[in-house]
Amino acid sequence: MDRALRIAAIVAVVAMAVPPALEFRVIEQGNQLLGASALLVFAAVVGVWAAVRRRPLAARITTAAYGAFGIGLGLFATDRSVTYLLAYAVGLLGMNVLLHHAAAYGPVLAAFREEDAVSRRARAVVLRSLGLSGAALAVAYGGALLLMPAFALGAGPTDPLSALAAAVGFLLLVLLLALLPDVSPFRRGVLRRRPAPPPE
Amino acid sequence: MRTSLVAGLLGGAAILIALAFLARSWRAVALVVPLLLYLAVGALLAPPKVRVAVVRVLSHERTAVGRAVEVRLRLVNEGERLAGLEVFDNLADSLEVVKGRPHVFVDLRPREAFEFAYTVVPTVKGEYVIGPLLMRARDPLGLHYEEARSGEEARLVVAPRMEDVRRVRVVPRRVRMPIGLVRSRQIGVGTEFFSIRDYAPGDETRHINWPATARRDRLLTNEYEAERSGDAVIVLDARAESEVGPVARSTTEAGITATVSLAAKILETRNRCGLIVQREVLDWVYPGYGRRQLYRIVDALVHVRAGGEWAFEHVTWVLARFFPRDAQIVIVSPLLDAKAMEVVADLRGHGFDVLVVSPSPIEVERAAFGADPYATLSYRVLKMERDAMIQGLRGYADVVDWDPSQPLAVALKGVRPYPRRR
Repeated sequence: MDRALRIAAIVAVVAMAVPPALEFRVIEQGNQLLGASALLVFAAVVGVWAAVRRRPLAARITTAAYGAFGIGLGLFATDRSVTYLLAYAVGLLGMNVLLHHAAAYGPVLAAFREEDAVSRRARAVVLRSLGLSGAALAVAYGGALLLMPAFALGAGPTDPLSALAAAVGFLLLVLLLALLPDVSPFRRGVLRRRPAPPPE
Repeated sequence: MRTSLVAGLLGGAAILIALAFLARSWRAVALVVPLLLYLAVGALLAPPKVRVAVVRVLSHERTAVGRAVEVRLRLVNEGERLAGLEVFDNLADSLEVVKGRPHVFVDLRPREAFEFAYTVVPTVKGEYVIGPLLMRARDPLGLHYEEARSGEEARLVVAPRMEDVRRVRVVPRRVRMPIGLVRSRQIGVGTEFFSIRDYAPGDETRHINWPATARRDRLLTNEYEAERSGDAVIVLDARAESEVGPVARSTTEAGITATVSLAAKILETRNRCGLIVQREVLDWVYPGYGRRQLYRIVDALVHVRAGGEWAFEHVTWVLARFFPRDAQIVIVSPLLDAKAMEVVADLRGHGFDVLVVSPSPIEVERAAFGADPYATLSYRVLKMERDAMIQGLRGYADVVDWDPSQPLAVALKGVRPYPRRR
């Protein structure tokens, strides 16, 4: 299973290089095209290395390069649809999650030599984690699509200072969401688990 | 605690927002939404605090190098459900896992108990601490984790490996009065026939040699060779400069194996055996009898690690002042010290009988380098130098050149049990 995880991570890294490569058709100058291609190939190689050596942090370079070419060119040069760009952003997110899971679970799965209850339980944990990650990615993509009409209202501040305030507010919202597990009023209040039954 | 993935997502979101406001593009803002949704879902699934009771049981608390020890762990979840709990038992590198794993993932419901076991084989002697147990609960999305560490630790004492040297005749060459198993070449109490003499009043009837009496027509009595005990002191060279090779197969470890094997053999034949170890400190075990003395020697050897820069001459000083003068000295050293010959000659000068058991450093290195042609040439040159040095030493002592990959008993086969004749 470790091998499957690693192969999946490599395939994801290579597959995610295809959309940015397709965006290169808008680059007409030969040297620019060559430079961009070299950068993309370098990023893909780093990504494959990160997948093979289980170093998800190294894949940040790959993510940044893929994002710059795939999303940057898609947004401002080739004028891709939002649905396409969303799918690509979620794909990049999925690639990173897969690399992270391969690094976290791979060494343990690789160490199992015999098939026993412990290895089966470990495999179940990994499969559940992969399944939930896939579901969360699907929710992220589906939810983003559902929220798209809100972005087409044309409402909101047009004044630069108001726009800056809105940006700061949005960043604060992002940070608040990220801090939720430690503050955890939501988890404590809403998702309180049922108390454990008394010991027999 | 958040993983680096959260930082990456936040960084990506921030870049997209900045880009959106710089380029005044609502589509760039829209791309932040899936990242935020993923973070939000991750926040809902964040793991609870890890509260797990741990019990660790070892099948043996004392063992020897190469013998398997089973470590059994029982975990009881005393908190909320831990959907992805990573459990890792901290082990020393010298403990080789041969069955099961000390690193597992498990899903633990509240009050649920989980047991797992693994088997380790120590490759180097020593006193090991197994644990603490590290537990890390992960969320399934890879965004958050909670860690805990169980203070439960177990100690495992690993004695050095012992070689079978039962057939080897390594005994002290000078004996003392107490009865033992060493033939003394003197008449006394024993089982080995020595000579015949005329019967004297008081001789035991069972010692009368009846065939000889019949031939000579007068009473003749058998005399026996007295069996006494002697003293032996083993000097182990565990200095840093004497260590060659990887730790598990180093000359120091081979020397420790030889030391404990010889000590067991010497004590088994009712002799006293002592020990001097040259390492960071010069520590010793005064000669004593029996199994308890063997345990003392083993306990002293368990903690020996190569180190220190004592000169070899200090051993002569200690032996001459604190140990019996007629003791058999067994020096266990790879003989990398240029002054080894001087020291052995000095010990002979002090009246000690000396046996040198030398784990060959060049054989250890040869085993490490394999069939490299340059290494083979170097080996031949070094072997000639070593043979010349050993030949020189043989003028003062019995020298056993031991290839640690071979049994010690084979190398000790040529050792003579009787005093040297000059």
